[in-house]
Amino acid sequence: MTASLRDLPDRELVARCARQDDPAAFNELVVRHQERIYAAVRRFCGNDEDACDVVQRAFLNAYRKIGEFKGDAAFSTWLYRIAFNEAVSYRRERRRPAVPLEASDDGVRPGLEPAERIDPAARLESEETQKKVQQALDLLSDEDRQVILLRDLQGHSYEEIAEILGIPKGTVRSRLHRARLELKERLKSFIGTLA
Amino acid sequence: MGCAFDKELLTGYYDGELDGAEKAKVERHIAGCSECLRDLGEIRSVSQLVRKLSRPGLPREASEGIARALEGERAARRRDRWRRRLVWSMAAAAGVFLALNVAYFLRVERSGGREDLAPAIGHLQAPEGDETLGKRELPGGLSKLRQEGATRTEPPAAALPPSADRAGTAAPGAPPAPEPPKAAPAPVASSDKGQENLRALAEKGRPAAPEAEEKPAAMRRGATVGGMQRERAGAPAAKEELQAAPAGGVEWTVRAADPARAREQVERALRKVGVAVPETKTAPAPSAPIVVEATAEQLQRIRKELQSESGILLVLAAPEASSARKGAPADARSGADAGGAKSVPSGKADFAAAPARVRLVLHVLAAEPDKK
Repeated sequence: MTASLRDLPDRELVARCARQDDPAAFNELVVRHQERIYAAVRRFCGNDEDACDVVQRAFLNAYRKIGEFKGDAAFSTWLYRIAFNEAVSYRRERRRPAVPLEASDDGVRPGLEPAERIDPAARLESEETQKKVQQALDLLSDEDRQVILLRDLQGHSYEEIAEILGIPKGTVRSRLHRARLELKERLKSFIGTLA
Repeated sequence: MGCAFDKELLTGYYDGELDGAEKAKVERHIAGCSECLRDLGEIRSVSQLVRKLSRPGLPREASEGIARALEGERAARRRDRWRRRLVWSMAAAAGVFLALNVAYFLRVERSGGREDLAPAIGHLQAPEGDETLGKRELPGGLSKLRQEGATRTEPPAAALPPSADRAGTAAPGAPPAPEPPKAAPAPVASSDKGQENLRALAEKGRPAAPEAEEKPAAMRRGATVGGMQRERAGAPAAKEELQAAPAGGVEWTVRAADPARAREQVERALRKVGVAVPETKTAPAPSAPIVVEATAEQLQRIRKELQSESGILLVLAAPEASSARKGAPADARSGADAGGAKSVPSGKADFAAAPARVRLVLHVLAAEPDKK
């Protein structure tokens, strides 16, 4: 039974959930998508605790609304949309302020560090660099952060992003451009050495 | 810095999301614009920074949380399903109960309340061995009287004609009830419509009511109406009545919504049991009583026939012997006398044992509307 479920495409599993309320089919969908959804949500939320809550709510919501899934887009697209909507509303509910980059734990103010003294490869691999990029992401608006995570972290096409966020394809490009410029300003010291 | 080129195209170019024409346009431009070439490099750098972010692994608590949330939701759905089933089952049971009740009441209504009367009539059945008496109906329906009687503050005897009194108090096998005080009947406290109706009918059939109080023996004799009165064990006075009853003949009052039709029904019933109905050349007056002679067995059969006829509201074993003696037509009165003289068995014989025919006087009257 489990083996056969693994072989089924998302669409068929979704149909089983909608028709028969098949718990095993939905569990299979969860197993397939939870890692990627969690990664995107974790980067969006900036911490594990919020990400766990958001992902849990997202899958619960998907389970409740599975009958509404029309199959026009991929199930993963639909799931991302639910997850990002949950993440946005979760952050609004909590009104969790973004951690300013200047107040980061290491006390380093990236804008003040001389770019030539930074080893980019070493920094990218370090946890500290990841933390700074995450903090820079946290300072973006929700919609800018969503689009950049979906494109650069998750590798979605503009079309998929447009479906997930429910915006036109052209808006995806302009929003992505704006988000990258914003992020570049936040990470100027790294950009200088990378460019 | 000052290049007016559409920089969004650079983002699209980097992401490989431009069509052929746009792509060629960008490539032509960046070949000669160092600013846009630098911007494109920054876009790539930012993108790579994000791409090189680690993908946080799913913590165990996250996957457990998802499983817990889903299980909770499924349990809630199961509970909802059971609750819905329970509610539907209860609603269905209530519906069936209601339907059965409605069906029962419709049936009772269609049968003109006879089902309701049947048990009450059963109480009026003569005791074992008293073949003559059979069943008896009372004005207004005895069951109704019983239901309404719960609110009465007076003994039934005070309000009912003697026949009804006895019928109501002498259930089969019941111990003999003491005679109610006749001199001072208790006032009627209840204003119940059914009771009043019953009482009005009873009073109608008892024109000499005041006399009855003064002369209870005479009244009792009238009330026995040719043997319709049941003998009560241990009541010598009742036995006397029984002996005396046929002397007045049998006098019944048939009340019906349509007296003309009822008259036909009565005559048909009489013929059916083999009783000769006197033929008249001219149509008899509607209020003229039907006077015939019948045996005790025929009396019973006539009564059954009349009870089974539709439209006949009641067959009153009239307590109108006195009225017959006083106000009934001369032929009826003389007939009763003559018949009584011939048919009354002497001694304490039961009416059923009467060998001869009894004169039966039938008054067919319109049923009166309820009086408030």
